[in-house]
Amino acid sequence: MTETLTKIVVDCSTGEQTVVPLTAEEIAQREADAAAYAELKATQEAEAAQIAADKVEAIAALVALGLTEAQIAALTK
Amino acid sequence: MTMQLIQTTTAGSGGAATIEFTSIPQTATDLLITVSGRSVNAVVPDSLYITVNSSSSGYANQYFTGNGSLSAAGTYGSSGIILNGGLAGGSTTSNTFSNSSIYIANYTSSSAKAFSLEAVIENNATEGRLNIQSGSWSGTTAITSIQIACGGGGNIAQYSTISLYAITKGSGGATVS
Repeated sequence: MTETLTKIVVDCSTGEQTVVPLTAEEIAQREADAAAYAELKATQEAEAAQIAADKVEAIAALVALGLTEAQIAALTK
Repeated sequence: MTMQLIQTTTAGSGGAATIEFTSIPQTATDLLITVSGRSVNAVVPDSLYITVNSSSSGYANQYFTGNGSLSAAGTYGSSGIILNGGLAGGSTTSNTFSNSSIYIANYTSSSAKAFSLEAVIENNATEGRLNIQSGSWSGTTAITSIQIACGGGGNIAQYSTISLYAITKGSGGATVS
C-alpha cells in the first residue's frame, strides 16, 4: 500500500492545525524539486571534492618550489 | 524591537512531507523561522526546501558550507530557497536534530524579499555540517504563506518542530494578533 503523503497546515490567524493529503500537483512538484536538489547536491559535492584535490596538488607544487610548511600554511589560511 | 511567536508546530507520528504556515499576519516587520528538524532520508545533511506564497520561481541562493574537512561556496538558482543542512538526515546520530533559522526581512514590502539562513547539524560521527546562506525571492507581493519541505524528497521526521516568529521594529512594537 502506498503511503499517503501529508502536509501540516498551520493557520496563523486561528491557530488551527490540520493534516491534509498532498494533491497530485503537489506530489509532482515535490518529486521535481527533489530531483533538482539531488542534482544540485551532486554538483556541490563534486565541486568541493575537486577543490580539495586541487589544493593537495597545489601544496605539493609549492613544496617542490621550496616553500616551507609555515609559508604554505600562511597562504592557505 | 519585539519578537513574538506566531505559531509553532511539531510533526506527529509518521512525520510530514510539508509544513505550511498560512494567513501570516501582516502587522510585523520581519519574520523568523526556527527549525529543530530531522528527515527520514539516509543521509547526513538533508535540506530544507522553502517557498513562499506557493511560488515556485524567482528564487536565488548563495551558500557557504563546511563539514569539518571540506568547505565550499557558490550560488545557484532554484524553484525555492534550499537550506542545505537545514535538517539532520536519518544517518545522523539517533534523536539528534538540526538547529536552523531563516530570517525574512520586510516580508510585507512591495520589493523583492531577502533571506538570511543558517544551519548546523549535530552528529556524533566524523561529519557534521555548517551552512550559512543568503537568498532572495523576486516576488513583489507581501508574504502571506510559507511552505517548508524536506529537500531530499522524504518526510520531515516526527518530533521536528518549526516555529514562526514576528519581529517588529521600534521600541513600542506592534502586537501581532
